[in-house]
Amino acid sequence: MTKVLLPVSLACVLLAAGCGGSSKPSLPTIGAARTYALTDFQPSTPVAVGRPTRISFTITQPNGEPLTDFKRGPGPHTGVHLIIVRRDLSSIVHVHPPIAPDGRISETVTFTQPGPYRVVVDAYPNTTGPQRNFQLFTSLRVAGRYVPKSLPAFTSSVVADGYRFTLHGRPTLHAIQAGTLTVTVADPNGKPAEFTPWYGALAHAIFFRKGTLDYFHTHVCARGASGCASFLGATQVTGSSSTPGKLAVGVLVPVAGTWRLFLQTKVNGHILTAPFTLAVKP
Amino acid sequence: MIGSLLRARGPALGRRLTLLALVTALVAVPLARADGDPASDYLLTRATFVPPDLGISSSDAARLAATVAAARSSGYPIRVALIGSAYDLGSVSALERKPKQYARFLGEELTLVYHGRLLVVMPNGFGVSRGGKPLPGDQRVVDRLPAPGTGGPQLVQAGIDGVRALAAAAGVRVSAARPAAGGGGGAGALVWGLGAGAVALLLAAAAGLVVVRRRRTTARTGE
Repeated sequence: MTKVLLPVSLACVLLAAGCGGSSKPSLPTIGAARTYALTDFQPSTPVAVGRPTRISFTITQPNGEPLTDFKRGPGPHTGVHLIIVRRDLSSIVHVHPPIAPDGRISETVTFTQPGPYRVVVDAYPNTTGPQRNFQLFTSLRVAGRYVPKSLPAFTSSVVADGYRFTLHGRPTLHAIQAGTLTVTVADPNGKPAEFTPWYGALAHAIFFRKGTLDYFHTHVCARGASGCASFLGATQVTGSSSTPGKLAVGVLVPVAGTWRLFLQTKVNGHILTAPFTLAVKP
Repeated sequence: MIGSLLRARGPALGRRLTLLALVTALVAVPLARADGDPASDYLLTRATFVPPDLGISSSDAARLAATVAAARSSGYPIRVALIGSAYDLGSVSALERKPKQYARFLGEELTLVYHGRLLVVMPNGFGVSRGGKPLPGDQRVVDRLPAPGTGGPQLVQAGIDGVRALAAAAGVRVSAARPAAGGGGGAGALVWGLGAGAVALLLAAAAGLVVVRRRRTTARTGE
């Protein structure tokens, strides 16, 4: 019995340490709504095509104070991920902007096409609780006439800056079912590409759903990469790469529809973005 | 390490169990990883997810956690996620007011560490899954309950009612839960949930070690 009591008592010690050990009954406390929010997002008016545009914002914590402390270190689960996608899913911007000591987050972006854009801010606060990240959304407009482009049909091969991305097999994807896409990347000479970690991962798989612009993001991790692969949970939707030029991309999307996968990787100093159109069945 | 644990006896076994427990506590929590929806972060290591934006009182959160713990101790393990708004769904806001689909999605995300029953409570209804798969029989049970409605207290009560109804359908009676003493804001319930999980984990580890040791002893002595 003592063998059982030992870990129980240890757990109790851990519990007490975690909650302060108060033993007095407390009255119910109802706090204010606790949400993070984007504040003072700039620009607030349409921006010009082809001109460097300073995008800046602050993330306000549930207590009203600016969020200044973010996860740091290796791996992609750090800082702030700023993703800006045109409403027709024809182009994407994905950067991890610097964060000023006062929490102001700024990045310069040049838009090449007019129209409406969805802005996704995926943030990793340096909190001690289990919640790692959260997403905040807004929009911006690039001045000019918006002519939406039709989403291309599925094609298994995409060339980006001379590098060929080939998706092997016709993917059969279903909503709420984890799957894996196998992609090979060849350099302009046809040789397997050598991936370089970029923003903590060998590749980033960013998914947006046509129409609703629902968003999902997974990473492809190098074998043994620190801070990239999942230790617990969702490992099956984290990709991997153990062979030069080959990526296994984890997929888990919440709803059926047409999704655009922006597969991003870094090869020989080039940031490559290969878009694929995927049909996801119910 | 496990082998050395099994070879240990008496005080040595105790010290090594302590070490195992510490390693478990240190490793299991900080390295939990799942992207997108907050509930998938919480439920990796905890039995309940109570969203932070609904103003749910610590005593209400504790009542839900106590119900889930009581169900578990009665032989009916289950994890529960309360989802009040799109904010609580993170990047999968497409599943707002779709509790059945979100129960499957969340269950799929948790499958590496949890294959048990999962109850999702949204203002318009419930979703039940296990290992990411729907549970039609259980779903019918919770579908008979009234829609939870909006508001934190309503979601909490619906979660409690859902757990008790599901357990009852399985022949398990879960008594009315009392709020845990103490608490400290919403975190109290979360710590409570973590504690329940940690105790269960450690009990299971200790029981497993005892069983293995007894089997080895039996094998050696031929008893």
